[in-house]
Amino acid sequence: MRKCWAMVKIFLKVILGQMFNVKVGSTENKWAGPMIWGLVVVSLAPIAWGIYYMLNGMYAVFAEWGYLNLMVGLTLNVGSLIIFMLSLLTAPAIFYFSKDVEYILPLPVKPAQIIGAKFAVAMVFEYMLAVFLVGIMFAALLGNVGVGALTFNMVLTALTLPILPMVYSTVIIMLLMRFVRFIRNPDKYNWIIGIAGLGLGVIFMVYSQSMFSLDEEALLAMLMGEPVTMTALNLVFATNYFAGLAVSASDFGGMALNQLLNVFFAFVGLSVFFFAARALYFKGVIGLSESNSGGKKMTREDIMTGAVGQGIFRAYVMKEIRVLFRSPVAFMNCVLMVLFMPVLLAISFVPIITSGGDEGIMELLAAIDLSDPRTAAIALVAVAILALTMSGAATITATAISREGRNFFVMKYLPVRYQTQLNAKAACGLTVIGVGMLVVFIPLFIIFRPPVLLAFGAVLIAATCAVFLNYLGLFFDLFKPKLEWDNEAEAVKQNMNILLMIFGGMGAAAGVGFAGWFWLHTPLVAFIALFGGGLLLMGLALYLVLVKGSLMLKNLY
Amino acid sequence: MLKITDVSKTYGNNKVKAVDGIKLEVASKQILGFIGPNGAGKTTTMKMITGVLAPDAGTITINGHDIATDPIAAKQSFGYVPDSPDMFLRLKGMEYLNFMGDMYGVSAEQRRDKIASMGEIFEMTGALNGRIQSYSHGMRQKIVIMGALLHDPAVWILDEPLTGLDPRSSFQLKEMMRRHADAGNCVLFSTHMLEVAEKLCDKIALINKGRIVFDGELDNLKMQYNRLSLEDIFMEVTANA
Repeated sequence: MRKCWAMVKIFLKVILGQMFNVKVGSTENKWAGPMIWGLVVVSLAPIAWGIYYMLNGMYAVFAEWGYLNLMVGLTLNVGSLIIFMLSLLTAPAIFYFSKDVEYILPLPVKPAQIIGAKFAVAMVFEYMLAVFLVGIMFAALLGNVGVGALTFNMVLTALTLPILPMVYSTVIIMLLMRFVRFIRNPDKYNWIIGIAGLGLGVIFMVYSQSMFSLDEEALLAMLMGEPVTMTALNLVFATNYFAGLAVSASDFGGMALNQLLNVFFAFVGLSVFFFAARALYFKGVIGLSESNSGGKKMTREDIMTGAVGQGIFRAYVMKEIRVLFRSPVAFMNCVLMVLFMPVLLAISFVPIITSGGDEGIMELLAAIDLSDPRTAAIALVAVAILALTMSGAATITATAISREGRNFFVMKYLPVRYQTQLNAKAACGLTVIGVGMLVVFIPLFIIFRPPVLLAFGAVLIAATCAVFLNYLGLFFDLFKPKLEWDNEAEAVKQNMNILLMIFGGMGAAAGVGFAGWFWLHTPLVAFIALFGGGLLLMGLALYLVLVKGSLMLKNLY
Repeated sequence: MLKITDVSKTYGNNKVKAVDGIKLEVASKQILGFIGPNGAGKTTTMKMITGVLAPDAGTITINGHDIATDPIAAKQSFGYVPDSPDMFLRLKGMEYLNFMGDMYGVSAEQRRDKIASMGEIFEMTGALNGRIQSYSHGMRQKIVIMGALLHDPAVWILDEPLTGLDPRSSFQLKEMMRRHADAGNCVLFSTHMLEVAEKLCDKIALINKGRIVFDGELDNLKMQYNRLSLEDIFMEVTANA
């Protein structure tokens, strides 16, 4: 047990060190990590409030009807599903891709101790989520259940909630790693799981939209009808079913019995995990870091056709795009954010438009007449707001130097001017933003059919906004790049520049909205102000990157 | 061909100089072995030569080009193999070589010939279609060497280039270094393999605590210290310095 605990401490120290210590250049910034987490907490607060508000109402009604257990069970099942999906993403990094097992195996520790330590570390992160969810439930249930019973139930529920989802996800991961060879590559795994996660997220969003549209009576009818999905979820996450019964039990005996069953099924889950891990884990993890150069074998003839040249700038841009698109973490966070945002927006609006349910929105859409000067001015302001928000979400340039990591020095010994290299990085970002904007603006142009001059003006405004924020992001990253990292995710996910970029884009969009509301009332005034202002800011950003930024790069070590 | 004059470097606010007023010269037809204990200043010196770090004082010229005032021409003159080959991991071997060829303006014809010949020498031809990420350490070292030498630079700057290479590739690289120097060019390479430096190098530069403690031909070094092997000299110099 002592050895197991020692391993847990070491594993946690490494992971938490990566999460909370943000290194800037060669110096460690003690405040950057807590600031990022502080911002995460602040941004989660409205979500927590929204969930609390919804659950509080639901629990009150269901308690009155005597079906509180169904609603508590449903909430816990949704929580379990979220934990299951997240652990599919996070657990492989702890169990397989951290590559520490090969250093630990020669030490005098039992396999079960290694497995236990790994599972405990993985559970720490799931418990963070469980405490968040159960905490909201606790607050929402106050008033419907006595405080003493509620505390007893919620402590046990928080302890057991993540166990079954974690067991299922780790067993699935162990089976995949043991028997599916191609998935043993971290990039391929993250790709598949990332895309699958997005797909599931969309399905979840669509499904939850239909659930939210139900009132309490319709929801109760659905739960009472025991649809297949609910029955299956209750079977799969048996702990939640009994936790739901325990919370709504009228006497202590019923509550204690149900909680006992809740804990019992959690132990059954843990036993299944240890049994499966003993059979599968080490056979899958050993040899994972052994390399095997993939791809079709090249011949001398292939070299004769494959060794082709292109211009320096184009070659550099192509290298940037290849590296960006082949890195799952960079692709998901920097590229997909831009391309996925329009899809999410469309998903949110499609049900309203197709059902014609929200007459307000339909009337508003029908009333848009772009030949009207005021409406045309609003359209230009809207284009600027959209372009700034999208460009802010595209954090490609804001991580362009950080993603180089310790290898940034290659930029310094290549016989290529720093300006050319920085322009190539910006061009990579602009390419993605350009595609994202086409995805958004082409359908909008088709729907609203703006006059040619207005459309041309909108394109110019969007382009200046994109170039401005793109170069500004690059300047942020030149100013404070995060070059010391072991895992690329640190350069992308735990980087203050990303927050600066996103909030910078949103702040600029808010400023444009404010100006639009008060001053930009005709299309000409709006165009001159937005395009002229955009050009000025673009010029400033170009100066910062190409003059100041080149010097920063030269002095960076 | 490569001249370093009174170069110093201090990191941050540190009072200890990582490199302290060093002078070095590598002439045509010479291989200079740059040796010293860990942390002596070898990599810092190489990074200053290649323009990765700016020296606090002194000048560095490569093939007549000052790295500070004429950096592009100076960088075009050398091929650099850094101490870690873990770079461009998400590119395929062939993509990396094409990228390096484009950066150094290598013609398509020269590129084909060099890739084909070096691919055979290092037994890498079959692996060029795979991602560098999937290569072993030795294969990564080989692909970085191929990329550095693709533009046929006059000056080779190699930071521990033999680390991780199999005996055949190691032998081939040493032969290439000798041939390159004999053809009127020069090589500066750092190594901890003293017997290799002893056999291969025309000159030895021994650095310790940021200062060059010896720079000259091996025979002179042996005479100066009255010792038979470079290893004995290294032990004595680094113990007393």
